[in-house]
Amino acid sequence: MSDCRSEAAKTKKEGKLAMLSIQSLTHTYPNGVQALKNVNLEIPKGMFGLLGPNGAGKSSLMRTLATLQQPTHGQLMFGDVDVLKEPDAIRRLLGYLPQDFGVYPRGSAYDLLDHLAVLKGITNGKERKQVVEGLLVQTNLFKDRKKKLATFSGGMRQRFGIAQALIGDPQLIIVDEPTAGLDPEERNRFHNLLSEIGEDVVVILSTHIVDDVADLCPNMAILANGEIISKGTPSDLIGDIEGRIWKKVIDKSELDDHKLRFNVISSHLTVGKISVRVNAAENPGEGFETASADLEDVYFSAISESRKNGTQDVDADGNNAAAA
Amino acid sequence: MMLRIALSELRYMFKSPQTIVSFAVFFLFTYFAMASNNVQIGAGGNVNVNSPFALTQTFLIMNVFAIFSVPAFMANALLKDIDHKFDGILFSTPITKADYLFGRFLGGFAALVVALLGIPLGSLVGTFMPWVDPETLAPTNLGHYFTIYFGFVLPSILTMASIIYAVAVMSRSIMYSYLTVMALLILYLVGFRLLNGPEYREITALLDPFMLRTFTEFTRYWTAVERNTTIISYEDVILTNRILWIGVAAVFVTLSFLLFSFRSAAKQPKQKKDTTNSAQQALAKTIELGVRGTPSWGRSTAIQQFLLRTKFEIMSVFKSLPFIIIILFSVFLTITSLISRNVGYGLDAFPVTRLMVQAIQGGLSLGMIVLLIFYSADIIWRERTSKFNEIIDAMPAPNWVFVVSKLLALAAVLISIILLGIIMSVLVQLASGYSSLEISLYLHRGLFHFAIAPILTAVLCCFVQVLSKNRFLGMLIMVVYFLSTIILFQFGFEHPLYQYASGINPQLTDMNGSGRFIEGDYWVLAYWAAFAVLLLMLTYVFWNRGTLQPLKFRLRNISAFKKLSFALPAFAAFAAMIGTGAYVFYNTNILNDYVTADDTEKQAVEYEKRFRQYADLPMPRTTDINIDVDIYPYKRRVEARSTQILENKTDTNISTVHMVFPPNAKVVSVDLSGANLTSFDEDFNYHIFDLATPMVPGEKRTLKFETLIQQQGFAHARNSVTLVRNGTFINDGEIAPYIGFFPGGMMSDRNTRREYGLEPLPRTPKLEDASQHGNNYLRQDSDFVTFETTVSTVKGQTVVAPGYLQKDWVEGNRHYFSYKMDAPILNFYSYLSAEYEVVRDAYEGVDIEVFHHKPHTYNVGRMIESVKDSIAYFNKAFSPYQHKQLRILEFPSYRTFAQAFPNTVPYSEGIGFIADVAGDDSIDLPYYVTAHEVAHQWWAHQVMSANTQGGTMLVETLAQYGALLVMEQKYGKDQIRKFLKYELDRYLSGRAGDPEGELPLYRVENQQYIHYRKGSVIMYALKDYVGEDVVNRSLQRLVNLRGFQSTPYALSTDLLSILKEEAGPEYHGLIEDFFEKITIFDVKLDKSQVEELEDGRFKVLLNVEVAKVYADAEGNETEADFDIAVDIGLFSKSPAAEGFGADDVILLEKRYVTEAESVIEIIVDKKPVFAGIDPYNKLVDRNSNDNLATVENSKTVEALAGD
Repeated sequence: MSDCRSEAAKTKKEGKLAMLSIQSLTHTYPNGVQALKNVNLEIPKGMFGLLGPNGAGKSSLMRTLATLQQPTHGQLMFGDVDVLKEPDAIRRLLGYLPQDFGVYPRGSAYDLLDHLAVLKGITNGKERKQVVEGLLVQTNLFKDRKKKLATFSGGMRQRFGIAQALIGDPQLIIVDEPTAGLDPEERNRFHNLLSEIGEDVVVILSTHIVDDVADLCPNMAILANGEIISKGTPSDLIGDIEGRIWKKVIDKSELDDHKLRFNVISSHLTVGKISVRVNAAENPGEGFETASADLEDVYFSAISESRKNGTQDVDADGNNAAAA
Repeated sequence: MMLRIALSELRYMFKSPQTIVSFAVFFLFTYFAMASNNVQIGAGGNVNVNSPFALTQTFLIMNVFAIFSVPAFMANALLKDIDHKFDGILFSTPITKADYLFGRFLGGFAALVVALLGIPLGSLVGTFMPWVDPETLAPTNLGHYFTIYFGFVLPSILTMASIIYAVAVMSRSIMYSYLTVMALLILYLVGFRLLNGPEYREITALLDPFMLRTFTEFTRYWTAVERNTTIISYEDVILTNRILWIGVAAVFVTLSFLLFSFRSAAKQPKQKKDTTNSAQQALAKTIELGVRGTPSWGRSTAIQQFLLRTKFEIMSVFKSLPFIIIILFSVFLTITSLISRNVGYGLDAFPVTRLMVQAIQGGLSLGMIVLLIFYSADIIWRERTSKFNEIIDAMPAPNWVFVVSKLLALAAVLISIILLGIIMSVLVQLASGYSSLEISLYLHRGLFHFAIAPILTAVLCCFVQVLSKNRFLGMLIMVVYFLSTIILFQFGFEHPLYQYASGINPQLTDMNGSGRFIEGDYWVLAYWAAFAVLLLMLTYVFWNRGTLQPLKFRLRNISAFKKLSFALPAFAAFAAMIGTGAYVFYNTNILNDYVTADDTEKQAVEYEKRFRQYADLPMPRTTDINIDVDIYPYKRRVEARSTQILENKTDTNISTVHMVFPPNAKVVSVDLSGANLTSFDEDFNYHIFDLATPMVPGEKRTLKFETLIQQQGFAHARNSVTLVRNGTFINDGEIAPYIGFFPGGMMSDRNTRREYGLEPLPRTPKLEDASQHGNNYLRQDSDFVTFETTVSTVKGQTVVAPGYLQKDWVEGNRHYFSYKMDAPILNFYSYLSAEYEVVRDAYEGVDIEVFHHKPHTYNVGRMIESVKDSIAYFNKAFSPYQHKQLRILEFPSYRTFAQAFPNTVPYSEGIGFIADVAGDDSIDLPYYVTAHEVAHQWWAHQVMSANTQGGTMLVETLAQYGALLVMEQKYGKDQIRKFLKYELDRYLSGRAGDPEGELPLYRVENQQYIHYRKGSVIMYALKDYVGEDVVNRSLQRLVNLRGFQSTPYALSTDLLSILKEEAGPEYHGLIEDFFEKITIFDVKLDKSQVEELEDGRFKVLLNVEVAKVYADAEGNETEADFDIAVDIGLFSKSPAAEGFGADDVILLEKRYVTEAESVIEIIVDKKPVFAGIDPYNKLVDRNSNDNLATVENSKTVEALAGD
């Protein structure tokens, strides 16, 4: 892979080498729904967070990157490999954790992981044993390795999914909603695991949980309604709105009125009252206080901005999307 | 509330596809059954297509198919909430369990009932189609449709619905509901196949949930009239059956109620105690972390992945429950089919490998189809079904690894089932002590050849599944495909080049193996294999990884064929397909004519149209035959050269001579002295000669001709089974002409004739038609002829023809045999050529020879013994045997009959040669068949009958009589009773199926159920009533009167008048009842009681009922006086019991019982245990099981006598 870096260097952006380049990616489903609209992204090595509400097109994008879906048009390059034309080549570099997956009704965790390791090209039996056992330990599934996968709980199954995505030292790791269903301890374990490997390879983390991105990703983008509405490093993005965020605690009955009059980007319930946050260049008065901007504000600002721009069909509500 | 739920369920079901689909399917099914002339259920003969009988039969059969619809309604009604994960919400609402459960049941069942209304409606609409033959229709009676559907079909559906509902409640799985359906169906099929003998009829009638057997049993001996007018009713066995199954339904409904709970049981996690937890942790610590592996890419990786996937797919199938069920039932089906090798009269054949191979194929084919449909879906959709597809599809294994491993797994599963079948066959053979296993036959026909078509079908299944939007659509397409293969054939689309994975029936026999039949089959299979390669490539190209793409989108992938690595094999496969296809076409359509069953009909019609006008022209008759025949078994070719003498036996001058050569014969040359060929119709080989000077009465002319018959290559169907490598069997009808218009070329089936606007043809001329008294019924263009033949075959084979061997010699690689008959014979001769073993014997100057296939030695001894016994008996009873020799010749089982030519009896390997006459009680089939054929040397070859009604009575009935005589002498009366029970049953069952109506025996029109079956019963009863010596004396007189006579030939009335003279006037009524009328008796022993008298003797009182009716052709009955004497018997043991003998008979005498109900008083010395009226079933009695009863002890005999 070393020789493709110079290739990627041409698409240098924000001071980093872009490994994965997505150009004017568009996908329209047969029923006319546009899942992706002219998406352009340059993704460098390291962790990359893709944030977006439900139905934004994250999974469509992930599936397209994972060679599971042919876009209507557009170009995808990983290094010098054309993802769309050479799917087999990209699969050899890929580790993929789908958003929602099941397992075969028969077979233990060990057997199935071993099976997948063969498919990933680990043909040496001894080496495969090391790989499989190591991953089982790292995902804390070792003691359950002989149990039928089908009997695993959602969290255990998710960990199995993570383990399989890491087989064979993939250069491109795509994880779609990886922490869904994990308890906080497992989530931490997973974050550690990801950040360990995330330095040398491209890791795309698709999520609607802002904290995941905030904790892990040096780069990120926000996808809403099939479009990239914001991208950059989290700190840059936060910097962009620093000083524009105002908060206030109001009664429930006042919410609608506030939503009408102010650019309310999010609202939280706090002890029977509602805390609202507003994005505005100047203090709107009426008791609003200044608040320090965080990534969540970035996210909600972007979403609410995109919604105003006529993309009314996004049904995600900003009220408690960050509840996790 | 319950009703509201039911109604909402019904409304929901109305909108869902299963209602529409089921209705459509059943409507079409019955519509076609009614409207098409090719499919007929229950009707035929004089039975109308919309008669209550035919409707009931159709509906009940549809009822069996209907169970496939049941889960879609019943299980769905219950499970759709669970499937849609709506159960959590629904079950927490305040409806009661009963409301919910029964409401859904009622709603689902009501929808099912409506959907199945397609059955009666399709039938009804079908009758109004303009092309339905009005002769076969009765006026529409809506009441019949209503009563049958609601009265008899619905209860069965209710039973099935309740069972499936209960299964759905218990398993909460649609799949299990379907599996239950399959299990029930296979259990049903297997169960009733096992219980197939007449002795099980009552029990199967009682148990059949679909009431089919019940219906069959209830209507078994119904006549056409009854079938047309009577609707079955709730009585007897039907009532019991329905009560039983409604009871079962009630049990299952109750069970559903008891077992159902809104709460689904929490699954108890089966966790082993974590005693080893610390050990596990310790172990985990030793494991090196961070090793991610270095993938290697290349051919060997792909192969390793392929092997892994293949093994995985195979094991997934092997470990799945449906597979185990299919295997179990296939094993069951196969074993049944392996052990039921019935060859008639309750006998089985030896388990020769050929029969085993055929049984495997019969036993497995159903399971294979289910397996193909179900597992192609399961395998292809495995990843998507388990939602594991996104992970697997993103794996770096090439597409072919998945496509090929899945297909290979399907093939491996098929092959493993076949191997299991073979293993079972071998076990069955070994268990029955049969050790000459033909392993090579198993491997070739049992495994290799048999597996090809299913594997090709597996490719199609996979292709369809890959292209389908979902697996259910794919399964539906395959079901439709399997049905279409049957239906297309019915509609005359027979060509194997468009029937996927079809072939050319490669018949298997012991004598000739697969013969050359299999060559054509392999060519067709090669053609379809090439096509399958293309399908496989398309499957690969359309293989969808990741998100399911619409077909339109995937079609773009076809551009893969632009690549050379793809285009080359595709082109090669395509070229192979064109090449093999062309070769097949050359064989089926150019070397042979592609003639479908419909074409054959049309040809017969055309023949009649062109030539029937000549039917009554006076023609000369053949008197002398000299014919040389060369048989080339390997080329499947026969050449014949003949010189025959024709004589004008009429009293007019003959100026034109017509002759029809056999349709498949090529006439190389034909020359009639003093005649010019003026017309030759190539289509029908019809020759017309004009005579320069007419033949005057008594004048003779010489006819010379050369003919050639050959099986060229292979045809798509109906390949010649007479011209084969080992076991050639041809007769005069294939090589020699018929002089004059050949009536046998016309179509005889009266319904088909009506379709073509032709008047019905009389089956046989009337008894009184004097113009036919000088014609025999075999052929009307000759009488007794002289016969001489020289025939050759390849060295190593023996060829036999009628006549005595004059000499034989070898010239080159040809073996010549010269045969000559010393006295005139009928113009009816045959040639059989094969690699024969000969067993020789002699009896009173008659040489006996059995030419048989080497391994078939089992019954040769019985045959020889039968020949000896028969000749001895018939010489004494009838007249001296006219020949000095009798030869039996085995021929391959392409055809299964035995036939009597002069001093020559061709005998199929399929009937007597491999019959296993094991038990002392079994009927000796080879002995019986041989005796029957030997008797034909008298009854056909000495006394020939005229071409009128009753002709076959003198030939076949008398041959049966002859066989009965020798069988009784050898095996005793008990065996005969057993034999006659089969005969009586076959006669009575045959009556309703007769297309033109029944006739009295003396007017029989070549109706087998009359001249064989009724003939046996009547002749045995006659012998019993008038005495054997009277019958035999009459037959002697018949030989004296008509033996070797052609002017005139014998008539059935000749025999009857002699019989009446010999038997005396007291038997005239009896002889008329037996022969001249269709007489049905009904005698019954109501009860019998015994009382010990003071003198130590016993007084027995028998309450008997007797009746006699005369039936007409359609079965309308008129009562008649019971005016014959009938056997009354008292026994110390049941005559049906094992080991019953003469000692057990206390009394057996004939008595006149004239009253319909009367009490008979008998005093005997010994105390009887059983009593009976006509206890040995000598009379034609539709209920022969009520003739016998145990005798009750009684103190109050007086009271009984009084009531």
